[in-house]
Amino acid sequence: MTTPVHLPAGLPAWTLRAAAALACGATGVVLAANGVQGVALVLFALVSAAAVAVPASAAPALVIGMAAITTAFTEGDPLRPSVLVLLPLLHLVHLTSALAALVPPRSRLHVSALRAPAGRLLLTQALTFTLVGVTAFLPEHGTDPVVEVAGLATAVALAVAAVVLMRPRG
Amino acid sequence: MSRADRIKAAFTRPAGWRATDAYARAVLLGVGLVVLGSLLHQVELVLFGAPFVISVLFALATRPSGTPTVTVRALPRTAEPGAATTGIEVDPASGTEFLAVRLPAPGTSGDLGPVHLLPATTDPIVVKLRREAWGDGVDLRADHLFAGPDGLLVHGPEVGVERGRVVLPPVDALPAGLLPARAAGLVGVHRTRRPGDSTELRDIRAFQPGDRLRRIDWRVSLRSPTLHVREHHAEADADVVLALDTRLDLGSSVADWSTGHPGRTSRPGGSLDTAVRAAASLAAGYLQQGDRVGLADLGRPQLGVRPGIGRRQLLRLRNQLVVCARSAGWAPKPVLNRHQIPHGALVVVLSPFLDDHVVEVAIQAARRGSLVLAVDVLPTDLRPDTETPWGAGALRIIVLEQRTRIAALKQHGVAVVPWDERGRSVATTLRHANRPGRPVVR
Repeated sequence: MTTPVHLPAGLPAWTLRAAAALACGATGVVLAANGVQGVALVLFALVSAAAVAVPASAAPALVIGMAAITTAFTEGDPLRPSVLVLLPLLHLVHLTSALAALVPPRSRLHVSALRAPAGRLLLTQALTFTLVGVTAFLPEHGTDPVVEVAGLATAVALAVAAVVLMRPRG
Repeated sequence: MSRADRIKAAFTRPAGWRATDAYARAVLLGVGLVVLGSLLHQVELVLFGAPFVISVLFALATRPSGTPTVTVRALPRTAEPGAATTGIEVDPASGTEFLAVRLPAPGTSGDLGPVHLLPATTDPIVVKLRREAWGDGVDLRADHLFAGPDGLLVHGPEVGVERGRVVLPPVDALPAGLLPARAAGLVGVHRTRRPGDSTELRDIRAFQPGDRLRRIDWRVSLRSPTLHVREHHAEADADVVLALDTRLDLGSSVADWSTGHPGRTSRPGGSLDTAVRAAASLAAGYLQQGDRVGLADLGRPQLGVRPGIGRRQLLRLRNQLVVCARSAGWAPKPVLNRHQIPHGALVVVLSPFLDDHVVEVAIQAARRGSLVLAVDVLPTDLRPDTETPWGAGALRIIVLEQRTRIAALKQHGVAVVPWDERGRSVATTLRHANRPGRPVVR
């Protein structure tokens, strides 16, 4: 038995872009607090603006990549607070950009549509922070080359599997 | 494959589910950051890549398959102005999480509406349609796109089938007194000159063979040497012909007279809009009274409707008014022939009276014995074209010429009234025409 759904007005879809802009802004603040400044920060702001304006482009990937690489090559503890803050922020940039790219800017957004991705975001972050916790307890000395090669092979296999599975069937 | 096929294939998305930029981003960043972090011994990069790898794994675990569909319930062909409700049946494929569909937003009117991002559901979606403007129009076109988890895979977008309705011209309640009052259910409300069986006394005359005995007026007969009978008037329906001038559709701004109005059947508030609304209201008023009402299109005579009675005739007339407005446009000369007008019919000519031909046909109809009423539907608040120095002068000439034509109509016994405040002037004129001694039906 199905129940008819009466269409409510919903929220303006630019709230997704606003959320993406907020996530980008917060990422920029974290980067600035992490010592990034000058041209790099201006460049990051420009790419962020492009990501908010055109979410269905390479700009969100550039935002995430720039933030990740810049933070990774900044001195400090690998599990320092700025890294832990950026983990959900960058995921949020990715998710809001992905959803904003589905509809035109003047669309209507129904909050009920966001329940499933929000739950998945929380679950993904829980798994990620579990990984962070595991990392915190791992010994800090160098890894054997065999383990590194095995990890790389696993990553490549994952990429290949993703490419194979995304091919159209039939 | 020919060159045309190759070009077509290059611009056509393959049917079925396909990966989005977000999917490519998640795979690239997830795998790239993890691999780069491993190579460079940067734990931060591995951690940054982890959420993207996990989200891709989630997406692949619930990979959507099958062909989702959106079906719009059929709409009635004709409708009254205002709100209506329809439903959309959604058949999402397994693993589908989002439905982006173009639907009219609640409270909006006359628009296909924005795209709504909804959760993919099998429950039917109720859509409220609202259109106040009469005429043809597209009410719904459910363009849609389905998306999988996190919008990483999509199916579509697909352009929906256009669902339109013909919104009939609204019927305004005419002011009381416009039409003679009558008891409902009787046939014929108008007094004729012929003798008949009504209750209204026509004459008292000497008895003739064939007269009914119950007609004898004993009071008069006792005072005279011969028998006398009371003769009554006959009652009959009136024939009303609404003559619509569809050759012109003029708004208040003279500068826009030569421009079109795409997407609408008529110019809102223009002369054709006013004429159609007036015709629908007059037709409803007369038909409700039991009279026969017909329609004549002065620009396209083949679109006319013969006089008839009843609610079906009102529906037919309102439909045909939309058809006439749809095919409105220039015609060499207005046509109102003898065969279009029943003898003795009331002819209501609805026109802006901006040319001499329509005046001639109105006067000819009056000369043929019909009572002709001219309704001036030219907007009263005309504004000159401000882009030319001749705008004000041209408007002045137009107005003066129209006054001259209206004066000519009045000289030939044709009453001319504007359509104002829901036919108040028409009511006054018809009330005057319905006075004793001025029967509508001859």
